[in-house]
Amino acid sequence: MTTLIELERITKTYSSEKSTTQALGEISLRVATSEVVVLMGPSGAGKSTLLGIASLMIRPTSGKVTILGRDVAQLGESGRDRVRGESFGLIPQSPRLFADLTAVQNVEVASLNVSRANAREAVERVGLEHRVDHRAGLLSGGEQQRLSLARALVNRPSVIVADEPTSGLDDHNAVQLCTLLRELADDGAAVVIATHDARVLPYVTRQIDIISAGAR
Amino acid sequence: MRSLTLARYLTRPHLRRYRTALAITAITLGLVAYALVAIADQSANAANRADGLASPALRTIEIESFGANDDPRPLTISEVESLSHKEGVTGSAVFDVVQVAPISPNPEGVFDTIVVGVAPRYLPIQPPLKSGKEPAGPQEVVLPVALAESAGLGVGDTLTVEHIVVSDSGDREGVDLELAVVGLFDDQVKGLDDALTIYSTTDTVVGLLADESGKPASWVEERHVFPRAFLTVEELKDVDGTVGALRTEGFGATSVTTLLAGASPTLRFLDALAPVVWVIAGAMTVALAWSIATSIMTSRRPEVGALRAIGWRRAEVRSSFAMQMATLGLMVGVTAAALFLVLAAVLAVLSGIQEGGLLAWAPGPSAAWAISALSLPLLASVAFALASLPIVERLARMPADAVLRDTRE
Ligand SMILES: Nc1ncnc2c1ncn2[C@@H]1O[C@H](COP(=O)(O)OP(=O)(O)OP(=O)(O)O)[C@@H](O)[C@H]1O
Ligand SMILES: [Mg+2]
Repeated sequence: MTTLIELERITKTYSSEKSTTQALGEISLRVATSEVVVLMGPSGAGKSTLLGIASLMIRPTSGKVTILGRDVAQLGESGRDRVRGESFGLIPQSPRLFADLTAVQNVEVASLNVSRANAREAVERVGLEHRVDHRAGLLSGGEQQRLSLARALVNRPSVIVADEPTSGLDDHNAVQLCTLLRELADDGAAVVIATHDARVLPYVTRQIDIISAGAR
Repeated sequence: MRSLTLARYLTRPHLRRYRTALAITAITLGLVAYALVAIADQSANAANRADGLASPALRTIEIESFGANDDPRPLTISEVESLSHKEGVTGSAVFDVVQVAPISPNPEGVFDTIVVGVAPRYLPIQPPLKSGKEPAGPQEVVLPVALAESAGLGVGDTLTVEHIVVSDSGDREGVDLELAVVGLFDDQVKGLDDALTIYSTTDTVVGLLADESGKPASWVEERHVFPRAFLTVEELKDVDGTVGALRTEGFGATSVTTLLAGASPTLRFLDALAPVVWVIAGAMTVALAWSIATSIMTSRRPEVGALRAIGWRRAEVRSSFAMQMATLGLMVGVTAAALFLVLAAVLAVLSGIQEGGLLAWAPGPSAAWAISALSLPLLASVAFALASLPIVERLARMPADAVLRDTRE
């Protein structure tokens, strides 16, 4: 078990000219290989914010972020993009696929140095072998979410990050997706899920409750 | 290169989605390119035609003895000849009219009461010949067609006139003089002289002047002050400068162009039209490229947000979408070039079929065809890429964490 993500005493305050919002109180988090960690909490608690900080999309207001043993405070914008592209696989709440590209094309453009064969493999891995050359816009919601997972795993990331991955999915599709995430963890990836959906709980190793910073 | 791959994959759907706007742009560009080539062709034609801008009359300046200064500069043959050695001057002539009375042919008595003038021949400002040749030797003249007809004269005939000679004793008497008719000129074309003027060589006119004044020809050349002279410069643009220079030298000078007001309003209109057409076509291309780019960038925001979240760098988003816009522009340009060539070829063939007909203006094949066909794709491509630059930039600046804030659309 190697620690892949290490967040120490993280806080995040969004401030604009008009208002400041404390999205996260002080929070620490460690995620290691083969773990499925779920961040639970009510809406607005800061789950997505924490996920964004862990995947280098958001800079914390204070605290230390160590990814794969490396302090990322010094990294610039494109350096963070590169680390995220190489070591992370992201599943957004809404898949945001190119509707007029095929399933395999969507996966192919996702990551650097991905061959057509790699992309096809990833699509098959999520059980969409019969949809490889279908246009993404014609796939069902559950299929689109799995394609989003294929797009996240095609570059064999060390960490999979998912924001509300089961929202809008029926039980069958939700179970299918959680099973796939669990399999990836069993293969050695670290998985972090932000959700308030209790259906993911059977598949997780650890649950972290996020309490709204404003509520404290 | 995933940015190139994405550009490749998205080009076809974008072509399909925006085909109407793209087709309109291509058709406009093709038509405009053709219009510009046709206009340029018309201008070039007019500028090269002797009865158009290439006419030496437009480059001719009338000179008089009295300039802006108090003391007149005498307009003698030697003075004018010194002027004609100036840079850009292609020819000059002094001008005086010697009155003579034709006495042949009688018995009809046609010429009984008329007097005609003999003036030096200077082609730039005088009507062209209808038949015969220009006067070259002594006593050779060309007559207006109407005068020759009424007198029953033709090329090769002799016209006998009476003119005044001052004898050694100082008496003025009429003397018969035989002039050889070597040509007839078109009196329907308006020149600067009276209808009853016949033309001869400068030497002949000088000889007549010498006879009238009782002085030798050399005296006339040195001393006789002619009422006016003409000077023709090489290029139209030199006219104003030369007029100014002549005035400072003490002559009176007027450009003949100013006498022929509105030499070619149509042509000037066409010349002014070309840049306007250019600007309109350019603005339309840019506006269409802008609106297509805006539509693409707005509709692709969610997808690009996902790409940013999974590690696409801003530069990659920028280059991918700039490539897409340049490719769309290229397609528009290629279509426009094809349309241009088809249109140009069809109209050129049609204008050849019905000589002088409705389509006589259609330009034939020229280097302009090749230039248009090659530059349209390039220009359209660059215009599309540049016009969409700010919009592509806005897309590229999308933050990576935007995906965390949206819900399923
Ligand atoms: N970019 C931002 N600018 C300003 N405020 C923000 C921004 N992003 C998030 N917030 C605020 O921070 C708080 C936490 O937001 P976050 O999206 O992390 O919550 P969440 O737990 O994911 O909620 P949900 O379950 O509804 O997705 C919210 O109050 C939100 O309004
Ligand atoms: Mg959230």
